[in-house]
Amino acid sequence: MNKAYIIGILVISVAMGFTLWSFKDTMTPYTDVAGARKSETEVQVRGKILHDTARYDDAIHALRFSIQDDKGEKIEIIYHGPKPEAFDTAKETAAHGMVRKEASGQEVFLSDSLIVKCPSKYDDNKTPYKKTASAEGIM
Amino acid sequence: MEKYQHLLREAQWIANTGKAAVILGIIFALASMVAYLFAVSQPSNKRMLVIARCLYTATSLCVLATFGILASRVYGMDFRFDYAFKETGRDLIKPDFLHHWLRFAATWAGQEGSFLLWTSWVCLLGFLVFAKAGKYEARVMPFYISVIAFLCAILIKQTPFNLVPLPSAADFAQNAGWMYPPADGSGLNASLQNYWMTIHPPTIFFGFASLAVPFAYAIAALIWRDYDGWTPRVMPYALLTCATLGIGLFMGGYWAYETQGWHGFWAWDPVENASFFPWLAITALVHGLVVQKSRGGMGKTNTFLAIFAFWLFLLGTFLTRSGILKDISVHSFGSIALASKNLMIAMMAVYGFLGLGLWLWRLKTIPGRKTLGDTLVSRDFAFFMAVVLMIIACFIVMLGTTAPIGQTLLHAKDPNFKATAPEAVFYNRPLLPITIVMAFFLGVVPWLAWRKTNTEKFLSKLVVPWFLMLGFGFFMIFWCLKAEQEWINVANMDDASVAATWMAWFKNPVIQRMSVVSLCSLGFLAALSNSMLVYRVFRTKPLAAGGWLAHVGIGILMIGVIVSNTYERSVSFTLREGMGPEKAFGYEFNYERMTGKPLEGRPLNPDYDRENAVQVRVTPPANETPMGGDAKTFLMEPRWFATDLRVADESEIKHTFWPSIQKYMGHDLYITLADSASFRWPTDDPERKRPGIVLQKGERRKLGDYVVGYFDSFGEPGKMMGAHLVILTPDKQIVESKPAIRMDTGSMTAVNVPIPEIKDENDNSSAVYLDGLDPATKAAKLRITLPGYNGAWAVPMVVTYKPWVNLVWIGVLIAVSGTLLAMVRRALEARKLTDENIGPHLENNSWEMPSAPDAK
Repeated sequence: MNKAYIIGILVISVAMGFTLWSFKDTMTPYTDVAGARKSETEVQVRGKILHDTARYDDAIHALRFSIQDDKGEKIEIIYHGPKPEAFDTAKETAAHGMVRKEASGQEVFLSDSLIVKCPSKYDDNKTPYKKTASAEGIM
Repeated sequence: MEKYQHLLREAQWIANTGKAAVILGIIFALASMVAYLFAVSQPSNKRMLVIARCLYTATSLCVLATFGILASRVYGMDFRFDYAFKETGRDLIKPDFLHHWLRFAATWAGQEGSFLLWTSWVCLLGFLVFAKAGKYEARVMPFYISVIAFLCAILIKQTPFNLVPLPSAADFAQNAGWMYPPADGSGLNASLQNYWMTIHPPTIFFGFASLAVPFAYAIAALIWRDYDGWTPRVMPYALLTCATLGIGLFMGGYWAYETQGWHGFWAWDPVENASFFPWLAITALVHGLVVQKSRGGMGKTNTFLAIFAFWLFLLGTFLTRSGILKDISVHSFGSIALASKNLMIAMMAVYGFLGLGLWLWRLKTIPGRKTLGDTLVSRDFAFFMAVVLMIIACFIVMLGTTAPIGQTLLHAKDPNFKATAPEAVFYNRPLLPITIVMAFFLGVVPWLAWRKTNTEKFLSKLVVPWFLMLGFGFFMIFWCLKAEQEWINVANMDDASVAATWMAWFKNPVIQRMSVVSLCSLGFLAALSNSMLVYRVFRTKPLAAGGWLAHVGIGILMIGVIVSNTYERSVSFTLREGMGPEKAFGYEFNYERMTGKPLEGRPLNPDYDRENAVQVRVTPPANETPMGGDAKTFLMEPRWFATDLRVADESEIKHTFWPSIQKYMGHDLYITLADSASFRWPTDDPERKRPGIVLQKGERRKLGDYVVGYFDSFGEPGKMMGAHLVILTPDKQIVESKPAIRMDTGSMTAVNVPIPEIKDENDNSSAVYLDGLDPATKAAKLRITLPGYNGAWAVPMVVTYKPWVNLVWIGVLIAVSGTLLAMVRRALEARKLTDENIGPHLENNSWEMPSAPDAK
C-alpha cells in the first residue's frame, strides 16, 4: 500500500463524513404554519400567496405578504430583499426562515429565502385560441 | 376557411419534412454505425470507411436541416407552428442586429430546440472527430454516433414540429378576432431577451456535445484494451470541453449577475449544477490524462472519468428536463413528454450500465501504476490529489442536486411529503475545506518535479512566494476586520427584533475570518507561484504555459469568489422623488426620472414600456473614480418595466426588474429595485391638477396601500350617473363610495365625495371625484386621494456593495485562456501522431480481443 493511497482514502473518508454531517444539518424540513410557530429552528413553510396582502414596507425595507397553508392557517411573511422575479404571478411559495415576534407582539415569519414558482410562464396551456369569458364580479 | 385549409396544408408539409429529416437522421446514424462496425472488422476494406463517412455526413445533414427548418419557422414567426407560437413573439421584430439574433436564438428557447441544438453540435463536432481520429476512427465513431441516434429518437418523440390546431368554422364565427395563423406568439420570456441568450446556450451546449468524444474514446479503449493509445488523441477534446463548459458557466453566472437582481452569480441551482459536475469530472480527467501521458498509469481512473463525465451530463439533463426537480429550480423547464422521459432514462441506463459494466469487466486488465511518485513531495502526488479532490467535489455536488429524488424515494409512502433541496450552505461547507486543500496544492505544484523532488530545492524555491503569501494574509486579516466593521455600521434596521435575527444569521465571524483569510492567502500563493512559472516557461515554450496559466486564473477566482460573497453588503431604502438623497456606503442617490414612456390609460398607476429604466443620479465619495469615467456624478439605470401587456386583466401584468451595475476597480456598486416603483399623489396639490385614473367596470387597482375596485355603474338616464367604488384599506376594512356626476339641462357637475372612513395623519379625510363616465363602456375616470398616496415616485431599492467581484471574471477568463492554450498545444502534439506510434497491437484491428493486456 502506497502512502499516497492511504492519504487519498483518508481524505475521501473525511470529506464523506463531513458532507453527510453537513447534509443532515442543512436540510430544512417543510412544515405547516402551526409547526413553524412551534419550531425553535429554521423551517420552510409552503403556502398560497395572498396577493392582496403583498406590499413593500418602506419602514423596514421588506416585502410583507401573507400565506395560507393547506390547513387554512395564515401567517405574515417578512422577506428582506428584492421581490423575486416570478412573485407577481406565483400562486405558491416556500419560504425559509423562522417565526419571530414583532415589536407589536404579532408573530411574523422572517424569511431569508423564498422559492417562488411561476405557474404560467412555462405551462403547456399556452394556446392561441382562448374562448372569451365574461369577466364579472370584483373583490 | 378555404384559405386557412391551404395554409394548414402548407404547414403540415413543412412539419412533415422536418419530422422526416429526423427519422432519416436516425436511419442514417444507425446505418453509419453498422458501416463503421464492418470497417472495424475488415481493416483492409477502405471502402467501408468511406461509406460510413458518407452515411455520417447524411446524418449530420438531416439533423442540420431539421435545425434549419425549425430556425426558419421561429425566425420567420410562423405561428402555425406550436413551437414558434410558444417561444417567440412579434415584440422581437425590431430592426437592430441584436433583435435579429434574438429571433434566431428563440430557436433554442424551448426543450425541443435545445435538444436539437445539442444534437446539431454533436453532428458538427463529429466531422472533426473522425477527421482527426486516424486509425481509431472506426472504433470510436460507432459509440459517438449512438449518441446522435439517441438524441434523434428523443426528437422523434418530442418533436418541435407540432402544429397549432386550426379552429373550426363555427369557432371562427363565434369568436371575433380569431385568426389563422395566430396573430402573435406568446413571446420570448423576458428574462431571455438578452444578448447572452444568443451566445450562452450555444457555448454551453457545445461543451455538452463535446463530452461525447472522451466518452467514445474511453469505451473504445476499454473494448480494445488499448489503455494508453487514446490519451494523446482525447486530450485536446477534454481540454476543449473544460474550456467551453468553463466559459459557458462563466457566461451563465455573468448573465445571472447582470439581470437577476440578487447580486450573485452562483446559486447552486440544479441547472447550474448540471453543468458544473460534468465540468469537475472532465477537469479531473484532464489532470489524469496529463499524468497518464507523462508518467503512465491512471488508466482505470481516466477511462472511468471519461465515461462518468458524459453520464453526469445525461443525469444533469434528465434532472433539469424531466420536471423531476421543478418545484426546486428557479429555471423551471416544463416537464417533457413521458415517452421522451423514458428515452432519457433509457439513455442513462444504457450508457451507465454498459459503461460501468465494461469498465468493471476490464478493470483487472488495465495496467496500474507501480507508484504515485517516489515520495509525497512530487508532482505525481499533487496531480493525484487534484483528481481525488475534484472527484469528491463532483460527488458532493451530485449528492446535493439529486437529494430531492432520494428523499422522495425514501418517503414514497407519505403522500404529504414534499422534498426540499439542500441550501447553499450544504455545498459551501464541505467544499470550502476541499477548496483550501486544492488551493494549497495549486500553490506548490509549480515547484514540484515529477517522481521525486529535492526537498531542499523545493523549499528554497517556495520561500519567496511563501513569505509574500504571509504578507498578503496579514493584509487580508486587517481588510476583513475593516469590512466587518463597515457591515455592522450599515446594518442598523429599525425593527430591533428583525435586526437581532439578522445579526444572528450573520455567521460566526471567527470561523468565517479564518476561512476567508486562509483561502485568500492560498489562492494568492496559487496565482503567484503559477504566474512565476508561466513567466519562466512562456519565454522558452509559450504553448507549455497553458496549464499553469489556467492555475493562475483559478487562484484569482478563489479569492474573488470568497471575498465578493462573504463581504458583500446590502442596504435597502426607498428613494423618493423630490425628497432629497439617500446615502449608502458613502454614495448619495437621487431620483432623476423614468426614461420610458408611460402606457396609456394608467396615469395613476403607470406601467412602462420595455425601454424604461429608473434613472438614479449617484454622487460617489470624493476619492473614487468609476471605471471608464471621471464624472463627479454618474447615472445608474436599474430597469423596471411591464413584461407583457397583452394580458386580459391588468392585475396579471408582471414587472421585470433588471439591476444596474457601476464597476469600479475594487468593487461593484449594484442597485436593483426591491419592488415596483409606485407613483403617489401629494395631498396638498390643487385638486384640478391631478390627472385621473381610468377604471374599467369590474376592475380593481392598487393605489398605495389601498385597493380601489370599481364595482358597478349606476344612474338615471339624463339625470345622473355614478360609479360604485369599493375601497379595501390596509387593515382590511371595506369602504364604499359612490361619486357621481349630475346632469342638469346640458351641464354636468361633479362633486368631491369625501370618504370619512379613511383619514391621513393630519385627519384630512380622503376624497374621490368622478371626472367622467363613458356611456358605452362604463369606464370611469376618477381622481382620488388616499393617505400615503402622494404624488411622487417612490422607488424601493437594494444597493449592494460587492467587493473584488472583478477578480471572479478575470480569474475565469485567465483560466479559460490557459485551458485553450493547453488545448492548442495538445492538438498540435496529437497532429504529430502517426498511426505507427499508436501502439503495435492496434494493427490487429479486429473484433477478436487480444488474449492478454499488452504490456507497456
